[in-house]
Amino acid sequence: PGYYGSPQIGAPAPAMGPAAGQGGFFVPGAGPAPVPQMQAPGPAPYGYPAVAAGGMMPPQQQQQQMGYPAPQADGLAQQFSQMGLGQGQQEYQNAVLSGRPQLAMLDEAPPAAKLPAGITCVPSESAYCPAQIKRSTLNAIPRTDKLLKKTKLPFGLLITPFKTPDEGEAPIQVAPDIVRCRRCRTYLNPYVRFIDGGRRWQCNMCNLHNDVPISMDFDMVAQEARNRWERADLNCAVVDYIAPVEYMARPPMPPVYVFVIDVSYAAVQIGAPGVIAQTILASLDRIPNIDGRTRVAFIAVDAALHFFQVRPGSAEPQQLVVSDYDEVFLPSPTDLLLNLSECRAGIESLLARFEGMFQTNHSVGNALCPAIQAAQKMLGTLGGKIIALLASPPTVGEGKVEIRPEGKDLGTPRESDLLRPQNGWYKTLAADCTRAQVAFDTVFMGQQPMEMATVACLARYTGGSVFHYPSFMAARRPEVDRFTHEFGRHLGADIGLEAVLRLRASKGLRMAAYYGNFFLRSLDLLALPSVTPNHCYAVDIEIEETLTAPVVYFQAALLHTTSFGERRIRVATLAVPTTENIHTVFHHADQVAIASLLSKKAVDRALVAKLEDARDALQHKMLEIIAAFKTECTQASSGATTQLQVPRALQLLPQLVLASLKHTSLRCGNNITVAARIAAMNLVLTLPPELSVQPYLAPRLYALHDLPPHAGYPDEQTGVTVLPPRLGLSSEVLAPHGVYLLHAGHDSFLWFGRGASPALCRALLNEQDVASIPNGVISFPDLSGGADAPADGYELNFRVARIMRRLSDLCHGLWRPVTFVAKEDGEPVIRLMLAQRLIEDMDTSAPSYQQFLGQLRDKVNRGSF
Amino acid sequence: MVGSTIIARVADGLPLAASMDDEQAESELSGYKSQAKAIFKKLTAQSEPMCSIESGPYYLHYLLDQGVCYLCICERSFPRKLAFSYLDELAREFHMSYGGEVGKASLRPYAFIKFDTFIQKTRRIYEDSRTQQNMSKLNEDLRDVTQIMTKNMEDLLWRGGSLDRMSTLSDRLRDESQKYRKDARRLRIEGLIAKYGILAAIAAAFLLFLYLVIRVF
Repeated sequence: PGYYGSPQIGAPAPAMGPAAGQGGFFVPGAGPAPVPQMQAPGPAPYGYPAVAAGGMMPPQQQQQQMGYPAPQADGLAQQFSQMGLGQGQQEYQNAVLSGRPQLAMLDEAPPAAKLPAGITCVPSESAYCPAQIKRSTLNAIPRTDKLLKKTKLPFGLLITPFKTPDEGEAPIQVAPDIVRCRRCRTYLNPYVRFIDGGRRWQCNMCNLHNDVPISMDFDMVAQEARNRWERADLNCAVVDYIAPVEYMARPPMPPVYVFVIDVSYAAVQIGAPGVIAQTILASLDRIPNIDGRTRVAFIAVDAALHFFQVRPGSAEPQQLVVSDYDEVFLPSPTDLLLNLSECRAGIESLLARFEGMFQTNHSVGNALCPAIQAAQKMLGTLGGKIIALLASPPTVGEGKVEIRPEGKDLGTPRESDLLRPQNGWYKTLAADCTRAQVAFDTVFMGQQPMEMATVACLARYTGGSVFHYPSFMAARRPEVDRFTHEFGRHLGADIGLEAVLRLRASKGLRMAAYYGNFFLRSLDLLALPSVTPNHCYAVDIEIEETLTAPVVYFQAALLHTTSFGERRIRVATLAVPTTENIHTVFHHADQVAIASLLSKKAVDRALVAKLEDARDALQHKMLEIIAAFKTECTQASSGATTQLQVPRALQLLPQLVLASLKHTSLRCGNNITVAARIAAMNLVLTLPPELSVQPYLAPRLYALHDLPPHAGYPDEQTGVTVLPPRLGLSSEVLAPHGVYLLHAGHDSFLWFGRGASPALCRALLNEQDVASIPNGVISFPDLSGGADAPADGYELNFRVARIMRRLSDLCHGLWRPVTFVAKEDGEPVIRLMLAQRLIEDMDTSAPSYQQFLGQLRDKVNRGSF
Repeated sequence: MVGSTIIARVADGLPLAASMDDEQAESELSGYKSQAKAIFKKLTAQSEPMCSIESGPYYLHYLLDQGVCYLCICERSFPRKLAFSYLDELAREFHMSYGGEVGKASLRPYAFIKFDTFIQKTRRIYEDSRTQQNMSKLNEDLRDVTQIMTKNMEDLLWRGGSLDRMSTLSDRLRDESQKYRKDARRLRIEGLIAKYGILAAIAAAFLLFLYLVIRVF
C-alpha cells in the first residue's frame, strides 16, 4: 500500500476502555462489547429472517438495542477533559514554528477521522474511503458556519473518482443491483442503518426510511437466497454498479481517438511527427480495445489538412489532402475513422511511413482549427477524444491566434493578461464538444510560442490533459524517452467515457465551487466527456445550516462508460465526524489536503484575476489561520509572542504554502515563460493531493554519497525499495563533497559538489570525475545491464536506479523525469532551476523559510494584516 | 439503406447490441428508435416471426430467431427482401457467436455491444441496393416476402394501447356497476323509511298508548 494508504480511521476498538480512549470520539457501547464478526448467520441462510428473530444483527443495531444513546462525541470529550482524563485538548500537541520544517511528516498518513465505532453496518476495513480517492481538508468538521469562520481553515474535498487501484491494492468491487434513497437519491452505502428488524433502511444523508427491496435478500433471477451483509455496497466505501437501461441515453460508445498531428515546418524541424508516430505505433497494443470496437483516426495538419483513409483489410493507406478550410468537409464519408483491430495492418503501415511522408515538408502555418472542426464532424454524435499534438500556434481558420510578445511583460502586472485566453473560440468549442461527448488532450512540443493560454482551454473545459515538452528534440535521447513513456502511458491508461460526476452531501452542506478540468453543467453535476484516472476534482464546501448529526457524509457518483462498453456508476462515500470544539477542528486538519486545495484555488484565481492577487490571497490565508489558532487555542491569545504556534497537524502548512508561492505556477519574477506557467498551473489544478503537494510542489532531496546501508534495496518484509532519509530543501545541506538527488516528479536533478570523489562518479555514472560528467540533461544509465543484482563496482548506480524507480512508482508512473546534471560550478541555468526548487532558501523573488516565518510572526503580532 | 440496427431479447426486451450510428442517422432516427423499443416491449415468443412495420418515411423490419429479435430501420425504398436477408445474416452470426449466452439471467444491457463491429461490416455490404451482389440476392428466391406480415405503426401502437384501455375500462365498468347496485339497494331502503317511517312510528306509539291504557284500566 502507498504511503497514503487506507488510514486507520475509526477502527473498532474492543480493548479500549474509557480511560484508555485516545480521541475526541468515543462510544461507550461498542467498547467493552466485543464486535461480532458478521458472517452468514449460522442456521438461516440469509440475514433477513435471522435479524427478524433477533439472533444476528449488525453491530450498530445491537448497540442501539443495548440502550445506549447515540453518542454526542464532543460532549463526552469535554466531560473527559473536565475530569482530567487526558481527553480533549490536553492531548493535542502544538508545534512551535522555528528551525527547519520536519518534511518527513509529509510521508505520514493524514490525521485520522475519529468515527464512532459501529457506525458502519458491517465491520469491514474497506468501509472507510481511502484518502487517495476522497479526502477532506478537515477530518473533524465544525458544526456551525460561525465556528468554521473562526478557524479560517479552508473546507473542501479532493476527489479522484476514477483512480485505478495501485498494484497490490484490491480491485474495486461490483455491487449487485442499485438501491437508492427515494428522496435524496443517495446510493446504498456502508453507513446506512437497518431498522424495523431489517425491513427498512434509513438513509444516512436525509434520514428517510426506505423499504428494503426484496432483491436484497432474494435473487429473483437465480431463485435463491442472498446474504445482504455480503453485498459489496454495504462492505466497501468505493464500489461500482453496473447501470441498467434507464441510465443510458444510447448504446455505450466505443473508445475513439482522433490524433491531430502538427506536421508543419516547425514540427518537422524538431522531429516531432516521426517520434509521435513511433510512439503511437508502439502503443497500439496498449490502447484500451478489449471489445475490438476502438476506433482511431489521423489528421496531419500544416497549412492544409491531410486525412488518411484505410480500407478494412488493406495495408495501403491513402492520403487525402483538403486545403479549403472556409467550409470544412470530410473528403470521404467512410474509412477515415478506422477500427483499430480490423484496419491494424493499414494503421501500422501508415504510422511507419508517417515520418517519411512529411520529412521534407516546408509548409508553415497550422490549420488546427479546421482540423478540429473536421474531427468534430467525423465523431459526430459518437463522441470520443481528440488528441492535438502541436509544435506551432494555430494560424489558420476561425480560431487562429496571434502571438502576443511576452518578453517585456513577464513579471509585471500585465503578465496576468497573457495567462488569459485571447479569444473565446476555444472555450465555446469546448462547450459544444462537451455536449457531444468529445474531449481534448493538448500536447505542446518545442519552444516556439504557441499561445498555450488560449489553446489549452480545449482540455480545460472538456476534462482533458495538457502536456508540455518545451525542450523536445528528436535528437535528444532523454527527451524522446520521456515523451514516449509519458504519452504512451497516457494512451494506454484506462479511460471512462461520456461521464458525469455528481456530488451529494448531508443536509446543511453546500458545494460552492469546483476546481479542475471539467465542464460545470449544474451546481452539483460535472460533465466529463472523458475521465482520466489521475485527475482530481476539488470542491469548496460551505456550511449552510447548523449540523446536528455527529457524522456527516459525502457521496460522489461517477456515471461513465468503460472502455469495454459497460455503463457503470462508481460510488465513493466518505464519512467525517463533526465537532463543536475548535481544538478538535484544528488538530484534525489535513495539511496536505489544505495545501493542495489552497494551491488549486490560488491558480484558479490567478487565471481569472491577477497573479499578484492569487499570491496575496494565499499568504493572507496562511496568516489568518495562524492568527486564528493563536487567539482561539493558545495561552497567548492576545499580545505578542516570540514564537508562533500551530497545531502539530498543520506544522508544515507554512512550508507548503511557501512552496506553492515559489512554484512555477505562481512564482513571481520575469524568468518563467507563459507556456511553462500555463503547463504548471494545469498540473496543479488536476493533480491529486498526494502528487501535487509532494513531489510536485515540495520536491524530495536525498544525499547519495552516504546512503544508509539498506537504502535502495528491497525491504525484507514488504519488498518495497527503501528510500534514504529525506533532507531539508535548502542549499545549506549540500556538502561540497557530496552528490544529491532532487526529485520533483516530472523532472529530477543530480547535484555534484565540487569535491565529489571520482570513485563516486564512477560508481554512479561510470565517469572519470566530476569534470568529465556532461552538463545538462542525461538519461540515467543502467550500468548493471538490467540485471536484478548490481554489477561489480556499480552498486551505487544500481541502488540509485532502484530509488528513482520507487519514486516514479510513488507518482503512479505518471512521469518519467529527465535527469538534469547540476554541478556546483557548472551550467548556471540548471543551477538556477535547481535553486528555485530549494524552497527553504531565499532568492530574488521570494523570502527564505525563516524570513517567511518572521514576516508571518510580525504581522500576527501586529494583529492587522 | 439500412439506417439503424438493434438486437434485443424477446423475453424481457433487454437490448443486447446496437449499431453506433452517425450524426445524421442519430438525429433523424431517434424517434423511430423509441418506437422500436416500444415494439420490443410488446413482442412475445408467440408474435409473428417476421414483420415489417410501416412508420412515416421508414419501415421497421424485424426478425425473431431463437428468442432474439433483430430489428432494422430502413428507408421505404430499400427492398424488403434485402432487409430480411441482412437481418438473417446478422441472426446467423449472432447466434453462432453469442447464442449460448443470450438466455443468461444476469445479462447487463448491451452486453454484446461488440457485435457492432460485425453489424457495421454487414451494413456496408447492403449499403447500396444496386450492387451486383445485392442484385443477385434480390433475384434469388431466398424468402417468400409476400408472406411477411405488414403492419402500420399507428395501428400497432394504437391498437395495443386501445386494447389495454378497453380492458381497464371494462374492469372499471364492472366495479362501478356493482357499486351502483349496492347503492341503489341502500337508497330504496332509505326511501321506504322516509315514506312510511313516520306513519309506522305514529302507529306504534298509538298502539303502545292503547296497550298502556288497557293495562291501567
